Amino acid sequence: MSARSTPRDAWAGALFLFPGVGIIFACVLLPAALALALSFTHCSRYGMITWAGLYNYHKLFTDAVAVRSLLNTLKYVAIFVPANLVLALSIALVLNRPFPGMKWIRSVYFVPVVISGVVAVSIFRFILDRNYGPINAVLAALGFEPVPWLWSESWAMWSIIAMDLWKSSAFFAVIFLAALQGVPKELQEAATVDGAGRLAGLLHVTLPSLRSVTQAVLALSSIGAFRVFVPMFVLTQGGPAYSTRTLALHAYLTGFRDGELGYSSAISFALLTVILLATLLMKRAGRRSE
Amino acid sequence: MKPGGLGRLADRAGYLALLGLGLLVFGFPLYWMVRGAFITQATWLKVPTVWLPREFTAQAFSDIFAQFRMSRVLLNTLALATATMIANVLFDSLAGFAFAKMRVPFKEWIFLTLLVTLMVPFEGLMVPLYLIVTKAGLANTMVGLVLPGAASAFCIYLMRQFFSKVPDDLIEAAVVDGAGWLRVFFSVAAPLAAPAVATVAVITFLAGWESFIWPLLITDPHSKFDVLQKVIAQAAYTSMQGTSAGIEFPWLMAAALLSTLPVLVLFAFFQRYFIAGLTAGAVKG
Repeated sequence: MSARSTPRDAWAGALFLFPGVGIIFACVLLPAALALALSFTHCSRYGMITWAGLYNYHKLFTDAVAVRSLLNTLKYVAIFVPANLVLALSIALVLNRPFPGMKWIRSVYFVPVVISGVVAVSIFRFILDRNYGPINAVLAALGFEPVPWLWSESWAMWSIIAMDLWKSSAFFAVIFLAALQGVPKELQEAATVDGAGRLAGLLHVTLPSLRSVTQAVLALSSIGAFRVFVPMFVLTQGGPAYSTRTLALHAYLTGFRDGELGYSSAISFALLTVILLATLLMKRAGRRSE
Repeated sequence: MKPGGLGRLADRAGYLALLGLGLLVFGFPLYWMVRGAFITQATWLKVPTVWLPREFTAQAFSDIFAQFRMSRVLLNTLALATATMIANVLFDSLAGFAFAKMRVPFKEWIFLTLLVTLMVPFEGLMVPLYLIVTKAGLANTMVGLVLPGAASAFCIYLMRQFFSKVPDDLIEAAVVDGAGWLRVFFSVAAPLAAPAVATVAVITFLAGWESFIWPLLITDPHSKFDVLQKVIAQAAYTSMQGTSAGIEFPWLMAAALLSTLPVLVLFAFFQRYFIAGLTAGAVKG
């Protein structure tokens, strides 16, 4: 920076960087390298390591449970990402209008943001309870049969998507709201005065100015959806009948429960690759649309 | 849609309905947690459902303090959150400052690698990370518990952005005066960065308080380092087996409330920094 910069300054800089960068590299790059290495081996819990070549990757494509996990993950992403975008944007638009007591209303909407993932999942476990849950109580009052939500092969995944949407859409609404407040009021008003109406103003003025935020939200929420783990881990452990088993959970269960660390590493590495590819694809699509 | 008249009324009614629906959807689960924490299991299991209980009890709270060694668990959680916060505030701002204002060989490359790590999800690394930390003899220790969260690439990025805006002259003047880099950092740069440091402090404290997967992996099932989220998660999983599994439903909601209340209080006081932390990644990145 200055002409006085000496080797001592370089040392000082390296020392400033070291603790933070060192911890992150040791906890991300090192395990990633280890995962790559282990993925070519048979490795048990007790540290017996033998060379396996591509066995684990071959298994990844032939293991029915792995394929099911991949499909479940893709289904999760395909439903969660667009639904989250629409919900988060709608919530932000609703909260962006002036209304008496809006400050208080907003803080209720943002409760899911400060509730931990585990707590959110525990609350929804009871809201969706098959015997004593309020949703089934309402259904019963309306004359419907109770639905076994989390305990049913056909409903468990949908239940988990719904609870994740509850938490995530509020989080992303905060981001959209911050961006909306950056859209010049005069622009919005000019559109409305022109007789364009609220909808046209939304389509031609508000939404185009949200483009870069929307891209960021899409990228963040799809990474989040690809790695979804906590609700399945806490409530269903992938069941019933593998219906909520995702790639992240499959990597965990084969590694920690079945003790197949080599295979688990291959799954982890496949997950990392899928996420990196998706991120890059989205970056490219974003660049093209500009 | 013409201004005034019926269209406007319909617009207003539709808006009110949406606003109300949102309040119900986002507020109800919170109500259900509070309701559940202050009733007995017997009230909970009544059919038809008791929507508005008349009698309240704090029995669930005294039960969990007895059943789950809750005072120990709360202390552990507070220690984990505080240690995570202190480590991040120190390490992330030092690194952010060096990236913005100091000469370090290969600085740009190191920073780029750091940004790439942001895309790597923890869920893909937990098995090998567990092996490494266990091999290092840090399983079931406080150091092992804190380590992976002790620095954050995102917060280093935040601090770098902030320090880049500090004029070079200010730093240079202090360096020319003969102050060492540590003095420059602590007496010139860090005080200027107070708002960014507050943002980092708030979001990393929250991350420590709510961390769950790592504590579950690196400590034994009933370890003396049990933290709140781990206890809640284990109880939630057990409760999935039904009422006979030994977990009374109000216990879980009482523990959930203990986890949520401090965060709500923090949020009320430091809302500005929360929002800054949440939006920084998306709006500027």
